[in-house]
Formats: sequence, C-alpha cells, structure tokens
Amino acid sequence: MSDHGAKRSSLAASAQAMGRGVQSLWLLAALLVVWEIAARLAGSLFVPPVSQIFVAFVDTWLSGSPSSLFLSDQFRVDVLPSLARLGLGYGAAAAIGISAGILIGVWRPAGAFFNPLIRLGMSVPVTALLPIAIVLFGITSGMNVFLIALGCLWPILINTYDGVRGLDRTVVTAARSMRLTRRRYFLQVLLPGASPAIFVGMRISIGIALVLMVISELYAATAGLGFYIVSQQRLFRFPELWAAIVLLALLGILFNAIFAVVERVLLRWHRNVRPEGAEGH
Amino acid sequence: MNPVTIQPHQPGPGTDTPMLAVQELGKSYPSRKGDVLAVRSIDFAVHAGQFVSVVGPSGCGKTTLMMCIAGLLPITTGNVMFRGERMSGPRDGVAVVFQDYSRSLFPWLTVEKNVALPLRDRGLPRTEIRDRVRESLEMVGLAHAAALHPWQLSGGMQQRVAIARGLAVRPEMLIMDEPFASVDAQTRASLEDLLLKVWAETGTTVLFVTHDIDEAVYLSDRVVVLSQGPSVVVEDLPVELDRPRDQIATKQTALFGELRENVYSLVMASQRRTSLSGDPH
Amino acid sequence: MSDVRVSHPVKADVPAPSPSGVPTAARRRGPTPDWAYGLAGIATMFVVWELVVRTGAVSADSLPYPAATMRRAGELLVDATFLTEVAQTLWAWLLAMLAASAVGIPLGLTLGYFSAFYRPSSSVVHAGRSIPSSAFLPIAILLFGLGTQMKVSLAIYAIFWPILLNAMYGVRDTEPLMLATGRSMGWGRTRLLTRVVLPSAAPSIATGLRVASSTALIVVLSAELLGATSGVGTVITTYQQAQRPDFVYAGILLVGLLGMALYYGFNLVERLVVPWGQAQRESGR
Repeated sequence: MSDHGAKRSSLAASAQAMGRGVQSLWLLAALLVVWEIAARLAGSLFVPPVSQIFVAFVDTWLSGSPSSLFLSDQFRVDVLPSLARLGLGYGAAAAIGISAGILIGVWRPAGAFFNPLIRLGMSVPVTALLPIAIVLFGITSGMNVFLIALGCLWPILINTYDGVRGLDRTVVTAARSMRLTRRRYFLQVLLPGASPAIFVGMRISIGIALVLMVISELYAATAGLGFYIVSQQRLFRFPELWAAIVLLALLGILFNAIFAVVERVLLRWHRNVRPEGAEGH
Repeated sequence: MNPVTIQPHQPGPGTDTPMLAVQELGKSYPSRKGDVLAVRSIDFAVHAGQFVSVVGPSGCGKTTLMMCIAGLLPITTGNVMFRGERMSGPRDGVAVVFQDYSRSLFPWLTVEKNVALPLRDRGLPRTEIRDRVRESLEMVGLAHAAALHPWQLSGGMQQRVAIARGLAVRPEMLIMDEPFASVDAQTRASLEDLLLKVWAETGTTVLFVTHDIDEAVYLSDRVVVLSQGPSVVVEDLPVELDRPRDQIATKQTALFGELRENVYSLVMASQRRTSLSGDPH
Repeated sequence: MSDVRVSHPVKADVPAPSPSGVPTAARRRGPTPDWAYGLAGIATMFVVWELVVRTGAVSADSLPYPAATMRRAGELLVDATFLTEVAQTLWAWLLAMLAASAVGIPLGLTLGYFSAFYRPSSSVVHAGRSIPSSAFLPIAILLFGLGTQMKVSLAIYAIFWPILLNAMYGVRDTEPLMLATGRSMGWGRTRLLTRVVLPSAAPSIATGLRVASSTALIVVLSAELLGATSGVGTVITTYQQAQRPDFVYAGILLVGLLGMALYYGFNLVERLVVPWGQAQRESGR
C-alpha cells in the first residue's frame, strides 16, 4: 500500500496475476482441447470443432472495418437490436422492481396487499406468457421487451423488498433518533442499506434477461441473436450457430464482469460481498 | 488511562423543572398470551448538567426503558417530560448513543458523514456543519479518521465516532445505552474518562444505562437502581465522590467501595427474587 | 445465489387488549391482519381485470373475462388429457432434477473441497453458466428430436450450473472454526466431511436445488412452447392456435399454481431437512 516501491510491486503483481490466470484457466483450455479432438473424431455435423467455431466467430462478428471497432454488419443487424431489447426490458424491470420493492417494503399494508399477487406472478414461468405477449404486442420488439421486463421484475422486486425489510433494526432506530428528513433517510439510510440485496436481484436478473431475450427471439422476431440462431439452424450452418452461442456466453461474462466492478465500487462498505463475477473466485 | 484533569462539574442547582422527568413510566408488549409487562412503573428525574446512571440486573428492561425515554418506543402508561413538555417521539436536543456501535453507525458512510448526518436538513450552513463535525471528532480524538469508514476502525474508535455523532447536535441531553459493553476493559476505562471529559467540557446532561456497577458509580452524580423486570426503581443513590475522578485513586477511596457494595447488594437482592443466577457483572 | 423469496413480516400482529392503567402516548388501533389485505389485493386484481375487458381497453379476444377463465381452469383441472400433459411436464422436470443433482452435487462437493480444483473449475462454471440455455434449443432439437429427451437435456444444462455452484460455495464457506473444532476432537477426513462439511454445505445445496427447481420448469415449458410434442406447454400453444384465449389464460394460471406448488413444496422440504439453514442464512446477511 505504500508509495515507494510501487513500481516493483506492480510488476510483481502483474506476474502474480498472470500466474493466477494460468491457474484458473487451464481447465477451461483443456476442456476446449478435448472438445476439439472429440468433435474431429466424431465428425458430428451438429457439434463442430472449436477451431471451426472460432473461425466462424471471427468471420461473422469481427470482420468489420477498424472504424467500426471491427464489428461486422451482421453484428449491427442482429446483436444491436437484441441488446436494445435487453437494455429496455431490463431497465424497465429495474425501475419498476426497485421502486415497487421499496414501496411494499416500507409500507406494510401495501406489502400485504400485493403479497399473494406477487407470489403468483413470480411462480408463473414467464415463458408461458409468450402466447399472451404475442397476442398483446404482435411480433414486435415490444413483445420481446415485455417478456424480458416481466421475467426480470420478480427477482429485483423481491430482493429489494427483502433488503428493505432486512435493514438492521439498530440502523433504523439510530436513524429515527436523529430525526432525519424523509428524503435524507431514504437516500442515505434506506437505499444504501438495501443496496446489497438490490444488487443480488439485479445480478440474478441479468442472466434471466439473456435467456428470455433468446427465447422470445427464437419464438418470434425478425432480427436479433435468437432469430439468427434459428436461421442458421435452418441453413444447417452449425459453426455460425455455435459462434452465436459463444457470443452470448461472452455477453453474459461481460455483464457479470461489469456487475462485479460496479458492486466493488458502490458496495465497498459491504464486506460480505462475495465476488462471483467472471474473474472467478 | 490518563487521569482527567479538568474543573469539577457543577450539577445545576435545583432548577424548578428538571431536564428530564420520568413519571410512572410503564411499558408492556403485546404477545400471544396477552400483554407482557417489561417495565412496571419507573419514577426519577434528571436535572440539567447531571450525570445519572441507571443500573439493574440483566433482563430488567434497561434497553426498553432507554428506548421509551428517548421516544423510540411508545410508552404504555405514564409520562416522559423533557423540560416540562411531554415527549411523544424522538426530539431535538436529545441524542442517543447505542450499545451496538457496529450496527448503529452506517457502514456505507465515512466517519465524517456519519457524524454530519444528524446535522443535515436543519438549515445549518455547510461551513457550520463542517466545523461542528470537526469539533466533535476532535473532542473524541478522531479528527484524523474523518475520511475512513467505520469498519476500518477498532471497536473503541467506532464507539467514539458514535459519541461524536451524538455530540455533533450539541444535545441538551445525551442518552447512552450500555455504550461500552462491547469493548475490552482498557478501552472501556479510557472511554469512560473521555466521556467524563466531554461531559465536563460541554455541560451536557447524561443519562447512562449500564449493567456495570463500577462504571455507574465511577461516572455518575446519581445511580438509579432498577429491580428485576417488570422493573421499578429500587433506590436512587447520590454519589458524592469528588471530581475530577481518577480510575485508580477514586476507585480506592472508602466511599467508592461503600457505594459499590451498596449498589451491588441492591442489584443482587432484586435478582435473587427470581431464579436467575449469575454474576451481575 | 441469493434465495428469491418473499419473507413474511414476522411481527406479532395480535391485536392487543387495552393494557391496565392509563393509556397515553401509545395510540393503539387493532391492526388489520395481513391476510385481509391479501384478500383485498386478489379481489382488486379481479375487479381491475373485469373492468379492463368490459371497458374494451383490451379486447375480449386477447384477454378473456375472469369468470370465463376461472370456468375454463376448472374444466382443465378435470380434463384427463390436460392432466396427462401436466404429468409429462412434471416427468421431464423430475428427470432433469435427478440427473443434474446426481452429477452436480457430488462434483460440486469435490471441487469445493479440494482447493486445487476450485479456481480452474470455477472459471469453467462461469463460462458455462453464462450461456443462456435457451440458445441451445435449436441444436438440442436436432440432436435429440422433439421428445422428452430434448426437454430434459436442455433443462439439465440450465440447472446443472446453479446446483454445482451452490455445492461448491457451500463447501467453500464452511466455517474454519467449525473445522478446527472437529479437528480438535480428533476427527479424520471422513468424519470432518460427514459431520462438518456436509451439514454446513447442506443449506447452500438446498438453495441451489430450489433455484434449479423453478428454472427447470421454465426451461421445460419453453421447450414445449417452441416445438416439443408433449407437455402442458403444447396444450397452451394448441389453444392459442385455436384462438381460445380463455383456455390459454386458464392454462397459464394453472401452470402458475403448479410453479407455486413446487416452490412451496421445496421450501417446506428444505425447512424439514435443513432446519439450520434459516439461521445460517440470517447470520450471513
């Protein structure tokens, strides 16, 4: 932590980080090699070797010009709409889930009022609502966004509620003894106190959002990653199909990593945060 | 452990209305088998500038009593009068320091912001808030820790932050609920002396709830002894030890020993009536 | 891996009889019990639903009247074909749960126990669970056809990761002091494993299974909606194609109740099997 010798220790740290990288990634690499060999031996059409998937990945997604960050047209056509739906649905779920969760957490009658409805709502497997969503929205992006939002809503809502209810009573009493204004109490006691739980909900939801994005696009869409996957399947272009799956995995890892960073910055005070982001701990 | 060398404090000579008057205070909790009486009927008064301790056997409802007096729990019967006015909730001029410093300090705020919190939204200018925070932190010897988070400090330091937070509002009365119960013996002794110093400097009235008889006698002008719950006042003892007090010299005086023994036997006597066994200290 | 649940407020809300003495500051009115609010909530939902359809805000073609939906739900409940399809769905769910736990739990325990494996395997797990299982649907259909096998294999992929991960974390988070206590009593590896590690990992494993249980149902249903030839999802699709929204909604409602039943069934079993989980979870906060 001291300033002097920072250079040497940063060198040592990067060497250490590399060592840790090797330590944590060798198994993944080994499994990919096994996949490569097994796929070549089996010669399956559906599960091509990793090397072919890699080539297809670069061709499909990263063949663009440097000015567009190497992202291909295909990326623009299929990935950006998917990401937009994801962002809208997730954003709506977060906005509604956090505010409603706080409301029902703070105001007991509201909590009791909505309790059975929430329990039913969270129990309905959200994909079962696909037919309804199609009737309501038709084959539009609105349908995908609706489904994503609905699926992400419950974990965020319920974790926010738990976070508010689970606020340490001593904390609440101490705040009361100081006679804070409502706004101050909300911004500096309630919200930060519930934020670890809110983050848990948001982290669970991001995975759900990806699943629902793909499902709803498989089911009905005219562009998007899910749509791309179905069309590649119909064309029997399996390396491209797998390339899309790999892209989804990378997106998932990216989102988790972003979460890990945001959490580390915002929840520095919360010592119980268990890092479970992409860096693997 | 330095002996505190400051001017002896003059307890306010019999003002007409006491700072705090607790009148026939009773508290019961509803339960499945009807109401459970925690506090039967408590009467005592604290005059401006006095340092009064409340002691009693464990489980006698000390914390409940404290919460009622601070306006944090509704009382069932009787009255709490502050400067002749009925208290119906937490009010300005009364600050509370809780036993559980690790939970009553907000872990997401820095030391400085924790201390500043009760000063916000009171129409105080920014500079005034900053000065008061600085002043209270200096009073407890923690000016250097302002930018740290509570969890980066030791237990004793955290409790000093909590005291600073109480002092920052320049309270007329400071209510402390077993504030030193969770720190080690040496830290406790120095916190006691720190408290006496701050009390003498600020002239704040202190109501100090503790289960430690030595501590009560050492610190106070008067010791109020409670019975086993549902509690009543067993005795209201004046402590006429000279000030400034000294951890070694004061505790060696015959009067200290006498008072200590007196309080001890009162507590034990009230405890023996129930089947609870164990050392009150 | 937090557990997603609505915890009941645990306040004692028994209306208190007026206490002896003079009631003062405490203004007490008998609090309305939670279930009354809950009933009001359900009633309000029905009223709003009815109004939305009656006023034509949403056409009755896409949203049926609540009464009609309830009637259809009643009909479906005694319909042998429908119940067979429900059984098909549950069967796929059960197979996936059994297979994923049979592999995931022992593997997770092993990987969590031997610290040399922990890091490398967790990066594999994180890569694997980052792929939304739904992306495999087209491949799974080609590999396994449209039958139960396809549903089950997709569901296994989806729930394998949470089960594995929770078993790993559970072992990893064993309180070192408890292990030391065991060692001080002279327990060997096997005894430490059975007496300390397993019991303290059990609540985490149970959480993983509960998460897996609802995920598996979602995945099985998705597969049924998107192509499988049996299961309750196919019934809903059929009614949708037949333009019978009343049956669609009734089916979805019943699926929701099924999900609820699974969820609370799990909670109940969990509380019976690992009663110490609650305390652990609470202190972990």
